[in-house]
Amino acid sequence: MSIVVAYKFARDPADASVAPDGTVDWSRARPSISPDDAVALALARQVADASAAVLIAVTVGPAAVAVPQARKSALSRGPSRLLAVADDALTDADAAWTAGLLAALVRRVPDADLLVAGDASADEAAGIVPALVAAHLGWPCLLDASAAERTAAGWRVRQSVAGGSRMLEVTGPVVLACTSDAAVAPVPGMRDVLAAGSKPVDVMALADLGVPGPRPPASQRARPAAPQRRQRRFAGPDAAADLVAALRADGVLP
Amino acid sequence: MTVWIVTSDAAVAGLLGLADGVGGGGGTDGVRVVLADPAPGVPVEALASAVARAVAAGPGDVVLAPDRPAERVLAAAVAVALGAPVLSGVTGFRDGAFEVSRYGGICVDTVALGPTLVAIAEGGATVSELVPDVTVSAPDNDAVTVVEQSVGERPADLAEASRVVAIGRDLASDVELARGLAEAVGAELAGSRPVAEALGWGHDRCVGASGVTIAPEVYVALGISGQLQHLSGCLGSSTIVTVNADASAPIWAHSDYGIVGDARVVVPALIVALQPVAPVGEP
Repeated sequence: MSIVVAYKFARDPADASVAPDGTVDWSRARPSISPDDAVALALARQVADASAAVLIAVTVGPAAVAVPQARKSALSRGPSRLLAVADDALTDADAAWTAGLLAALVRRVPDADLLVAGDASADEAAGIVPALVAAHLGWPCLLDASAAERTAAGWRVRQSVAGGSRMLEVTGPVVLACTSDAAVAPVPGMRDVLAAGSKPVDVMALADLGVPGPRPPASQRARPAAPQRRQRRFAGPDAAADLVAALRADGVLP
Repeated sequence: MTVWIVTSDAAVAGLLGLADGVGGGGGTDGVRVVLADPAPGVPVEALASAVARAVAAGPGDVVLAPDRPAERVLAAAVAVALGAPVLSGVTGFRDGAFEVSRYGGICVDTVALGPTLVAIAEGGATVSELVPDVTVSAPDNDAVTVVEQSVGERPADLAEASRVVAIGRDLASDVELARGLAEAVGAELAGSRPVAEALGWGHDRCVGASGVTIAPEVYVALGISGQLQHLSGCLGSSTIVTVNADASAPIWAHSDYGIVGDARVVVPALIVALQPVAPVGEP
């Protein structure tokens, strides 16, 4: 059997800047594997090892996701093979298109019965793509999975839920988005990076996948108004009492 | 046009407000609530395909879902069934368009109505009465079952809280200190993602991109530096009070009141200062 792990080569918005007209300048944001997806890669490797499965990575994005450095970055984290769609037409692909393409890649792995993904990407942080992929595949989807083990019929999955956790049993294939602490993502060593260079990579042409392009709704972008905050700081030996007094005087606290 | 609300519980006051705006102020007219209400042992997620069938949305309809993990799975199933785009991070509806916070809030997209849309937004507070138009209880198959449920802490309802005390990573070992302050001001306790992970809290107590987005009246940030991923979850707060030893932390740009100092020192002093004033004795 094969296990598939999806990851995104994403930019960190903390490194972006926004012009007054809303244009986002990403030039100082270097894309890398989203931190949550590094966790997904680590968890998927563990699950693949425990179930003697082949681990195959999938990714979708602009041409930069398939350059050698980017490939090695993913393959040094454990997958034995990478399937990618790398086309600059996908630079700002929305969740719907991205998910359709990822599902098409998963279908290229006929014996796959598990897709592992991260909680959310560094840039969009929406946490919706894994569920969309699942809907395309017709597989069930569980978000916030913290552990998974193979059973005779499918999977046993621990899931974090509000206030605690629960164990679920899944018959057949499943899409799991893992919690950000489901596994520790080790920094790949030199040997891992060197080995990654010889692992097979299949870069598919966007047109060959037959996934319709986006129909994103019309939108306009703006920079949010800067917050107007009172900016009062209290110092000195009575700072705490002064702060509480001010909060009460201003009606913030009764 | 119909506004559909897909949910598994009644914590949808925010969505009902959005629906009212989308529907042009018609209240709940033209709003159809699809409730996912599985039998014990069946997770909400197992109802995704059945819920997708129940949402018979036509052209131009809007489907709203709360930004919670199980409901995101439902919303995704609906979106794929409808072939509709998904707007995540919807923060409001104004002048005929959704306001969508993007990339951790560094920019805001406005998306006009027109095509069929699936929009995900904070569910908001629990409404006292939610009458579903459609209740989906039976999954299409029994592929997913809950075999064990561990009950931990009471789930936090930060959306309902008018005051929230949130702690950063360095205070993970001093959570009782923060709890004391939270009790003194009548606040819910929350944290940034690292602290939520360190303490085993779920998304319900984690503020920011990977948890909840809240807008309480008072947000007290203890030892929180103010990373983008955290700020996106709390910038809607009416008043932000900061205690942080680092005077140059990004959180200060968003603070109304604050003390530069170690929260371990400042918080006990705040708790003392918050004690009710002792009545003045007879002369």
